[in-house]
Amino acid sequence: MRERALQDQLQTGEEVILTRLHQLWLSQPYAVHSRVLGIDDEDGFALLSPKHLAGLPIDEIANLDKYHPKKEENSFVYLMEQKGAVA
Amino acid sequence: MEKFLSATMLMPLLINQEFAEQLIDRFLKASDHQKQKIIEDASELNQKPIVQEFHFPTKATKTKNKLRHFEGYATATETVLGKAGFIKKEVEMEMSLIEDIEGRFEFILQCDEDSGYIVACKVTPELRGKGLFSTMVGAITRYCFNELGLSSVSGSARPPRDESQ
Repeated sequence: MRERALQDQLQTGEEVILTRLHQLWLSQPYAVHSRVLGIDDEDGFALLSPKHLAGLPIDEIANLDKYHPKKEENSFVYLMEQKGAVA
Repeated sequence: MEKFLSATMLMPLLINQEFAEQLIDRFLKASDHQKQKIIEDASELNQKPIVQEFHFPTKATKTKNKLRHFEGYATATETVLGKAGFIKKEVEMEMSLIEDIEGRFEFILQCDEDSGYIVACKVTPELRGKGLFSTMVGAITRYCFNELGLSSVSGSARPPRDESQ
């Protein structure tokens, strides 16, 4: 069953409809929707390496949290702060 | 009402295909039923190969960080466009089966130099509902990022085609 997740508006501005399984994956640390990487797979996700993320500006990391609401301890900003990668 | 099948529906599916022109010629001369079949086959051209069977050794290749590794391969089929039409081609893809030594979860990965793909993963059915999903994802990320040094690992949250396999 697919559920409408109002907060899951990705960069295109399009509303994204997620299954519960997809939501479960996207709630995990370092997980993003495939569309963030430009891959058009409605069920896709990717886990990004913290090393790779450490090279991104803080605004972009905060944006990932905006589009992927997660528990605080799984949020990108929190995880990157823990690693000392965010000023 | 009958569906109108136009070559413009076909063209985006044939980008970078050597024999696109020949297929479009055949499409224009085809019946509606054949046109529908051509569009269905063409939509498979840019998809990942469909795995048919996994082949892993019975004995682990190595055990590290509480994970048992089995290096093997999968046979898969992919659709390619030849001069005479669509061909289902069998391919072999290297894969790794990684099992938790406590038997709680397992996952199958296909990797290249920089990125990985989660072909399959599962928490042992008897242990589902005990919060082990995050433990499995943690094991995937540690293995992919710390051990293999990948920059990303992707997957699909589509439900499995056959849970019994």
